[in-house]
Parts: sequence; C-alpha cells; structure tokens
Amino acid sequence: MAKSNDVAVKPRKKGKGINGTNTIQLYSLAAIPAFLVFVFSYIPMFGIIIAFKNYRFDTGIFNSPWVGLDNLKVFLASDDFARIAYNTISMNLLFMLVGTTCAVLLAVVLFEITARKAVKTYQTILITPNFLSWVVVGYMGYAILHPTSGVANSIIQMFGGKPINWYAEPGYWPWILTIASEWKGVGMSSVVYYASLMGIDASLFEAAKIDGANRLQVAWHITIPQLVPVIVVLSILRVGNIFRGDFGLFYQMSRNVADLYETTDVMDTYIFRVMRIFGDFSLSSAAGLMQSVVGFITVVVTNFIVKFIDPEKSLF
Amino acid sequence: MKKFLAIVLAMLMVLSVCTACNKSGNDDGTVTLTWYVPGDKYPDTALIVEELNKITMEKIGCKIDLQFIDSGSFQERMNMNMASNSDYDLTFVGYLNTFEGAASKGGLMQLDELLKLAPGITETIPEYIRNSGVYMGKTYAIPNMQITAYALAAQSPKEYTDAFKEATGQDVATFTNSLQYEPYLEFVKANYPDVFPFQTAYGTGSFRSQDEGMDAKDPFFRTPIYGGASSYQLYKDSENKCFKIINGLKHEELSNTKARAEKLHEYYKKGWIRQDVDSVLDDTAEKKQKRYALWFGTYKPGMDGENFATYGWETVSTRVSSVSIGSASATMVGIGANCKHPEEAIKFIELMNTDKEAYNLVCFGIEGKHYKKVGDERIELFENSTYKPNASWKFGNQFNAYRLPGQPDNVWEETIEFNNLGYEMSKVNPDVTTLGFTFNKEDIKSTVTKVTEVGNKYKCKSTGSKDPDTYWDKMIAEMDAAGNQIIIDEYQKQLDAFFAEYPEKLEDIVW
Repeated sequence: MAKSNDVAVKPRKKGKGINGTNTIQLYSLAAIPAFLVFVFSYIPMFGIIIAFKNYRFDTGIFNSPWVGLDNLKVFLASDDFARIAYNTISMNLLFMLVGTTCAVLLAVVLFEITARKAVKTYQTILITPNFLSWVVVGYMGYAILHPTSGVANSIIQMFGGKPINWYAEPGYWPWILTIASEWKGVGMSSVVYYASLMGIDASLFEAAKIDGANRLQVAWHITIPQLVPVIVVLSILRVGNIFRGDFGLFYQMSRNVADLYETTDVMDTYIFRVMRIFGDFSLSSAAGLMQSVVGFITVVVTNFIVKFIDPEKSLF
Repeated sequence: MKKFLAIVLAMLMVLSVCTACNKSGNDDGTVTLTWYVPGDKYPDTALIVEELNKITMEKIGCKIDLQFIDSGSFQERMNMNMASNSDYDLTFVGYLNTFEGAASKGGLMQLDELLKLAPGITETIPEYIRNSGVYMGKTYAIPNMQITAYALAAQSPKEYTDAFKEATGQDVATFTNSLQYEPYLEFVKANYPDVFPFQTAYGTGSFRSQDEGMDAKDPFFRTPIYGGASSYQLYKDSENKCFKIINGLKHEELSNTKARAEKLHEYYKKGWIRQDVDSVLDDTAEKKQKRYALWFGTYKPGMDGENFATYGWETVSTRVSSVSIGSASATMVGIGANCKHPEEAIKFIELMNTDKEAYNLVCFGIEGKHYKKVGDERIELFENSTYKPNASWKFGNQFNAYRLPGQPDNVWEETIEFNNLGYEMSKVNPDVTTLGFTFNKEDIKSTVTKVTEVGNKYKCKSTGSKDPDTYWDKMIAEMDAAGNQIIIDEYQKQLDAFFAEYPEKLEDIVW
C-alpha cells in the first residue's frame, strides 16, 4: 500500500534525500528490510534448481541427478493443461475486472458519506467477511447451493421454478466463484482506494462545487481520474499472480466435485491433486517456478503496455 | 557505510546466539534417540519419557526423546527433516510420512545389516509382514505388528439391525455377503427417512473386490494393486504359471469392476445412496449421528468394541469377503538416513516389539495415573487423562498391548489367527507387495499423473451417482489416450524382472 502512494511522488535529485539530508541515513534505515529480502527472497531462489533435478534426500541438492525439463513436462503434458491454464487466467481476469470495479465504486460511495460513524460502521461490515476462512465460506455456499435443502433452490421453488443441481452444472460456477470472491474480498480492497481518495486535494472538490458540478460529475471527473494511478499499479501487481488460483476459493467452494472441473479446476487445485500422487519436492518446485515465470512475464508485459500508453502511470 | 556493516554484523551475531541456545546437548555422553511419532502432544509426555528412559538405560543403554508432532503437519515436518539431512534417529513411516516417498528419495537408512543386531525383530515379525518395509529389495522400515490380513466388513448401527430383526426375523450377523443386505437397506429406507441406507461418500465404503456377493462365482481372484484411479489387477495365469497385469475396467470376463459400479448405481436410483453424494467432502459428523445404516470397512477381530469407543453406540459387524493377505505398510518405524546411533536405534525398535512393559508404557501411560488395571492384561483408561495417545499401533508390536474395554480377552490370538489365515490364502491368491515387490513409478510420472487425473474425473464410479453405461467406454478411451497401456506395460516389465531375480518366490504359490 505504501508503494502505491510512493509512485505518484516525482523522482528526487540523485544523492540527496528529503531536505537534502545525506542518503546514508535512508539507506541504513532500508538496510534491515533489504537484508531480510536478500535472506528470505534471494538466497532461496537458488533452490530453483531443484525444479530441474530429481531431488533425493540422501544425495542433496547438488548431487541429485539433472532431469532437464522432465518435471515441468509432468504438468505440461497433461491433456487438461490447456483447460486448466484457460480457467486460471480467465477467472483471474474476471476477478480483476469485477473486483476492481466493485472496489472502486464502493470506495467512491463510501467517500460520499460524510458521517464518520456511518463510514466506520459500513467499512467494518464490509471487511468482516475477509476474516472468514474459505472453509467456512465454502460451507456457507454449500448451505445456499445444496441440491435438495439449499436456500437458493428453496427460493427458486417458492416462485414455482425448477430446482437447479448447482454441483452438477459447471456453467454457473464462474459467476458463483466471482460472487463468493467479491463478497469476501471487496471490503478489504476498497480500503486501499478509499485511503487514496482521502489524499486528494480538497480544493479540487471545492472548485468543482463552485462550478456547479453535481455529485455524479464530481465522481466521474475528479474522484475516479485521481484513482487511476492506484488502479493501474494494483492491477499490474495483481497480474503477477495471474497464473495462480486461490486454492481455498476454488477447492472449498466447488467442494472438489469432479463434474465442475470443466470450469473450476485451476492451476493450484490441479497441482494439489498431482502432489497427492507423488508428494515430490522437484515437482512442486517446477510448478511454483512455472507460475512465477508466467507471473513475471505478465507483469513486465503489462507494465510495458502501460508505459507505452502513459509513462507516468507505469510501475517501473 | 561502516556503521551499516556494524549493524548487520551485530544482527548476525544476535541471530547466531539465538540459534545456538536452541541446541541443547548431552553433557554426560549418553546417547539420546529422537523419535518422531504423529499425534497430539500430551502434558504428561515428559513423565512417560522419564519412565521409559529408566527401562531403555537399563536394557539398551540409551535415552529416548519421544516427540509427538500433530498429524496434520507430520508429513511436512518429516519432509523437512529429511530434506535438511537432519540427524534424527527414529520416525514413524506409513500413512503419514509415506514409505515409498521416504524410501525412494533416500530419507531412510537401509536396515538389512542392522537387523542382524536385533534378532527379536526377525523372530517376532514374519518375513511376509516385514516385506511391507522393503523397497527395491532392501529393508528401510520395520512394520508394527498388528492385523495384516484383509477382509471386508459390513458394519451397521445395532439400533437399525435390531429393528430389522424384529420386523423380518432376519439377523444381519448371519449374513455372509453384501448382497444379502439389500432387504435391510430397503427396510431402513422405508422406516428411517433421515437415514441414508448406504454410505459411499467420496469413494469410501463402496463395494470392493473380494466381496463374496460379487465375486464368489468368479473363478479368478484379483487384487487391486495400484491406486483407485484405474483398476489394475493382478491376474494369476495358472496355465502358464505366471502373473499378468490386466486392466480391470476392460476385462469384464475377469473383473467385476463394472458390475460393482452398476450395482452402486442401482442403489443410487433406489435412493439407498444419498443423492448429494458427489458434493460431500466430509461426513464423519453424520456418521456419528447414526445417519448411515450400512458401510463397508476393513475387518478386524473385536471391531464392534472399537466402534463403540469411537461412536458411542453399538454396531454389528460382519465379515462379507474372503480373507486375503494385506499389507502392514500403513504403520511402520524407520531410522533416519543420517542417524548417528543406528545400533541403539534398531535395538530400541526391537525393545518396542518385544518388551511389554516399555511398549505399554508408551501406549497407555503409567498405571494408577493414566489407567487402572482391571485384569491381568486388561485396563481401563481414565477419563480426561493427561496422556492418551489411544493408538497402540503407532508404537510397536500391538500383540503385546493391554486389552481395552470392548476388546475380547483373546483379541490378539484371534488377530494372529486371522493373519495366519490371510497368509495361507496368499499362497493361492498372492499379493505381489507382500512378496517384496515394489512398483517404481519414477520413470512414468507424467503418464501416471495423466491417467490418475482421468480417474479423478470419474469419481462417480465409486459413488454410484451415474449410470456406468453412459460413461464407461468414454472413461476407458480417455484413460487409454492418457497412456494407460504404458503403465500396465511398465508394471508387467518390473514384475517380470522381479520374478526373474527371485524365482524362489514363485515356488510357494499354489497354481
């Protein structure tokens, strides 16, 4: 979150910090986090080589035999891989689109409310679902969608409709999962946007008011444009995880029902099942590496596109 | 910059001091063996260890550090221990910390030489049971002696079977095959609207091969030998005196796999199987509430007593299959690959298999504190005891364990007899794993993955929710496309190589 705010700040002169103080102080302040990143994020990266080896406990990382891309092939060779990749990417895009829209709208609406107590109350209500685990949410979904005694089917039948066997119809699931994901996550993600709205220069709103703009016009011409940089940065960061599916969401909500794999099976649930067969270090590193490489490429590409359109708004 | 370096150095020093103070050494030079077992930590574990050490110091001259790790993270913790080449000494191997994974990746020490130091192990555990701990011809783990023969048991709450007996005069205890239960299922369906007559949730408890009702008329005996996904079966070719791996899904003349799936679907259509079976992830709570009238499980002498302890109500269990040889690979003990004191470790395994006092101490705690003796070999555990692992099969030779309420006095004699029966049967109907064969899947990983994935899509095969005629051919075609034949060929190749290397293993078999 801190990052998104920094982005708007213009680059300072080299060698000089705020008010011209010596940068050594800033560096020493950053030393501990940098050290931690080095220890916990860079040193372990060396473990990537496990993905290209048949790792054995007794021979260790160095002496285990190289197997090239064999571990990756276990995933790529699957006939289902195309479907799984498509599911993962399309569901993530859907979440991003719907999620960002909902979060921004919510932030704008909350921003319009001036009574402080009311804002806090709404925020608390909206954020609460975020703290429920997917297991719990999965059971709530089950209570709603249960084929015979679920709430959804009871309502459908009350209006004379035919009950739907939700757990046998993959077609509904992209939307069910989107709703579940938003219900749980929208409050938390709107907080970021709400916070950056607080930072907008109040004089802009006053000027708009004097010019006679109504609320909708203010939102459209001032509030949302001010949010664009944050939206862009958060989206670029989110794109990095495009090849990862939220395991809890996809596994717990769909209850691992085989009939739904067509739309609910994503990389992480697939990897989970493969791991259950072998439980192999090399395979899991290969899977993780593959997801990270795809994420890295998509981040760089997206950032490049953003830079191409508007260099000011790019992440790096 | 110097300042910065100084800070970093200072931090490193603090860190290294912290790690150093975690390690506590033995000052007096006594060997202490670390022993990892899955299970909850009990407050009195330290007391037990203290008592245990008195015995081990006297008998094998070392101390034991018994470490319980909760079951949920045991697999991961042991993976980490093995991956980091930790020098722990003893570990549970089996349903958690899987044997194939640990042995094939070099996480366990090879025990063949060490076993010579511990004759108690080879004397008490017969070779065919020890073969469960053999990988590629070498011993890597010692099975805990317990029930190893396998038979299928049909189990029902006594409440329903009593009502059934009253209404129809039929006693389920006299049944010998699962098909005889059909009138009972119908009775439950008609009289108990809240009860699901037959449990098949997530594939457990459905029909299995060897079921008398399904297989009795069949001239061939088959053992499902690899995973539920595809039904590879071992076919004894009596004419040519050899074994063939066949795909049970395809050979309807040799296998009842499809007949079983059809039967299940018939039950599903009759409403005997819950209609939401495909979306059930966990039904243990429902089972405890007596919401199933019939389920299948593994047969054990005295199992009704165990069921009573688990559920709090009585069950009636009947053996509905022939007996076959099973595997002991679910509960074993292994020595870590980097263990510094293998000799003491193997002697400790021997102690847990031969010494009643030490074994029962670890299983049940201290007399008067954690249990009371009510007979010579019979105890009752105290409620809210501060040491209650309740899993004597985790620690050693279960046939040395005290009897608990619900277990008949002769439970172990019966179990041994049952094991022997299974072993005798195995000469006619062998299971290659108990001969010491292990299927090595390393080279065909991606094919196994693909075929298993297809199997995952057709879970309905074991839940009964779909008509097999609508998907059977499609499933076979998809499995073949995924490379099913490659696995069968590889299996056959390894099996042939095994018998070529150990031709004497074929001698005992009754063709």
